[in-house]
Amino acid sequence: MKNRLEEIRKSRGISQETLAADLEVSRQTIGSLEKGRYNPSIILAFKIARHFSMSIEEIFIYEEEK
Amino acid sequence: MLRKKSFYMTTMIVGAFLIAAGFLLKEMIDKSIAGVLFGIGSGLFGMSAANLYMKALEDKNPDIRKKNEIEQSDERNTAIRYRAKAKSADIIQWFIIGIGYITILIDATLWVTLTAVLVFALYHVLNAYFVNKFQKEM
Repeated sequence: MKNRLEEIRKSRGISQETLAADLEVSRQTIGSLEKGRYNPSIILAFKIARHFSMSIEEIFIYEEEK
Repeated sequence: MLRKKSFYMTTMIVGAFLIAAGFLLKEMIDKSIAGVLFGIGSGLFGMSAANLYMKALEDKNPDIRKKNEIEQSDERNTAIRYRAKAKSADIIQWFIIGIGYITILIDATLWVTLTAVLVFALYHVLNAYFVNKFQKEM
C-alpha cells in the first residue's frame, strides 16, 4: 500500500519526531510508514487521517495486485 | 512496561534471601540445590536492581518515561516483538528435536531423550491451544 504521508507531513512543515510525538508512536514507525515498509493498523491510519484533517483515502492509496 | 517500585523491592529481597540461603545452607543441602538457589537469587536480585534503577531514572526524567512508554506500546514495535518471538520459537523447536536425536546418538539416559521429546510435543500442544484461543477471540 502506498501513502502520501511524507509529502503531507513536509507540506505542513512537521518533523518526523513531532508527528511521532503527536501520534504517540515511535519516530521509526513514521519513517517505516513513509518508506512504505510498514502498513499501519486501521486505528493508526484513522489517527493519522484525523491529525491532518483528511480522509484515510487521501493519505493511503490501496492498489489491488494484478 | 515497568511494574510498581514495591514489586521490585519485594523481588530484590526475595533474591537476596535466596542468595543468603544458598550460601548459608551449602554445607547442609545438596550442592546442586545450593547452586540453583544462588543462581535464581542472583538473577532475581540483578533484574530487580536494574528495574529499580530504570524506575528511578524515569522518575527523575518524565521525558524518558514517556519515550519508554511510547516505545513499548508502539504498534510496529509490538508487531516486531511478536514476530521475533514466533520466529525464535520456530527455530528453537528444531533445536529441541535435534537435542533429542543427539541424546539418542550419545546413548543418554531415556529420561533425557523423553524430556526433549516432551518439550517438542508441548510446543505443538501450546501452539494448537493458542491458535484455537485466538481464533475464538479474533
